[in-house]
Amino acid sequence: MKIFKRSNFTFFSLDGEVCWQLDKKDTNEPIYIFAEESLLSQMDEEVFFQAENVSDLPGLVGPVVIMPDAHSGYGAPIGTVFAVDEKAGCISPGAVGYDINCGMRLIRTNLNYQEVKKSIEKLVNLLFEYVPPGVGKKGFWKINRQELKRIVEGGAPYILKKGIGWDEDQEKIEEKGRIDGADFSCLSNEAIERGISQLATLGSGNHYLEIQRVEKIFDLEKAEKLGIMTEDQIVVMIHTGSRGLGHQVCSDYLKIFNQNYHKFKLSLKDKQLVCAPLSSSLAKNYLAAMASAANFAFVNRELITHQVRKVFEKVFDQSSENLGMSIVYDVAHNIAKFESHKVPFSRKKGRFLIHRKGATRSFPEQPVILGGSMETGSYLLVGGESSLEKSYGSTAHGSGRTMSRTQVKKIIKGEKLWQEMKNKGIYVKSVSFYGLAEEAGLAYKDISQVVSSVAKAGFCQPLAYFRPVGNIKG
Amino acid sequence: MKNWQVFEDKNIADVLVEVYGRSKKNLFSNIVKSFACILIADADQIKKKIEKRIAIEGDDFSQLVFNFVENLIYQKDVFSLIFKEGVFSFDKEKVKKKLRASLFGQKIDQDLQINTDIKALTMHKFKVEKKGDFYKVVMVFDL
Repeated sequence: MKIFKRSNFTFFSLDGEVCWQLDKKDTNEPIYIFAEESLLSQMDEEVFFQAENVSDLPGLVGPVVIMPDAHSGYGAPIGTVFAVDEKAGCISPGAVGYDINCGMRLIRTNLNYQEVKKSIEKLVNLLFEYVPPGVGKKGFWKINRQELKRIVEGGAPYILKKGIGWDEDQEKIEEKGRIDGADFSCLSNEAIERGISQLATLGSGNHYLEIQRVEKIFDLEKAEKLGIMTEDQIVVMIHTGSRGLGHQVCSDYLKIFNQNYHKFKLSLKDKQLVCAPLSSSLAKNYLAAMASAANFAFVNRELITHQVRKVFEKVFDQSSENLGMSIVYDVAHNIAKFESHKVPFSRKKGRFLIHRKGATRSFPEQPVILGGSMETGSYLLVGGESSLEKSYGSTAHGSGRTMSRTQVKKIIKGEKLWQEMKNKGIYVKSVSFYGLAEEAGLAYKDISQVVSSVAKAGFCQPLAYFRPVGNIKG
Repeated sequence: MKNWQVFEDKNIADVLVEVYGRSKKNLFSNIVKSFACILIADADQIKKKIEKRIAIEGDDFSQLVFNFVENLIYQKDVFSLIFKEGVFSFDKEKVKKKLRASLFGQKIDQDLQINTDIKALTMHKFKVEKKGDFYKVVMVFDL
């Protein structure tokens, strides 16, 4: 059996390729890491410490699965999937993450690169105006508390009924843009106020809005069914989530869970991983607040889509319908959902609460979007059967950082990076050069290796590769 | 002695910061300054145009610090406010600890170049230590 060692950690290869089991002494459930050896060697070691803490959470029904783009987070690593029993399990807000329903959306167009090339700067500048990125920016959609209630409880279908977006959009969003069980009364005043002030904004950090051109199609038949027809076709990718509202939900419930943890008589290795039995009122309230934040994120991406369509209409003087700007798919990568699964590497089946933190649902034939760095590009993939066998129907979510923000800023300055990207045909408009430098391609793993790992694992197969040509970021 | 130290390399995607204080008031003052320095590229450019008075409660001193930092994030997200300095006082109550703060700063505008947004204070590695009159807080921010 092939063995890989990193300091105090030993990994046994289960397939000689991408499936590794972490050797643990005092284990609750096993940890499986799906990554090519080169990616496994790049993961920061904190990933493995954090994965061990996750594997000791109460109520797990099977292994903890770590994705090839994993990096350390707080509590659980980014790139973690695990399942707890629907009745006897626990929910951990920290293992869902702060940016609840942070996710990816891909919009297609009928345009090709030659038609858009001369207008890239105009498009990017207008998008920057219509979809405000960065700190302290307000969106175009002004709402009050009552409207926020309708948004978080009604999700994307609510604003579609109001005439924002296209009716067909709903079918292209995970869960049709609305998670059941949302309850406005489970949100704090702080969460409500942060939601009201940040709706229809992009945010900062690794969030972006990108114009991309199709560089390579791997499976034309399947790609065409999703509207990706030819190389050089223009698409738009959105990466954002539930903004301050989601962060506040996570913060609020971490605090409440920690205050009440002693009641459940559970052991706890990291306060960030605090959890509560699903039967408790605390867990029920958190799930209702989490669903509210998830619905807010679906609406946020729908409102941004509305603005993107308006910008393209303005620049090309055609309707967005004429430009063929339909949604390819919209999928979350920070969420917990009740789903029926087979436990990986076991015969056990059941209905479980699946936690996906920095991981994407990847059911067979479902579109999957993996966003790469703003320099290297992104992928559209389609879910594979093996995801149901090995990873609770899940896959990776992007590239995954390998370098801290300070480190990358020591290596490259924002102004220089901006010019280099412009020379490569990528026009970027960013709130600050500091923020731009933090997201340089060299700070991330090679997304092609991530895609190769998930393809070899059978979680999903690549359909198309997109190269950025314009980008706005906070 | 430094008033705070940022260790970005201890958390790949986020930032770990240690803030020190020679007294409780000095600790809160340094928290305000370190928060501004992480968020704004040149925090010296922040002007004292606005005074915001807040009151924070906590079951113990550690929770008081945590809730105060969360309030700085709330002020930034909801009112676009960033602060340069603060004046602090503490109420002695039987059950809860209470902090009153007058914070001085301004609205975030285009004159202030953003360095990195702070989206949440995590509980991961969060710790408040007291040795004599010396205080130390360890915080990991979600960026």
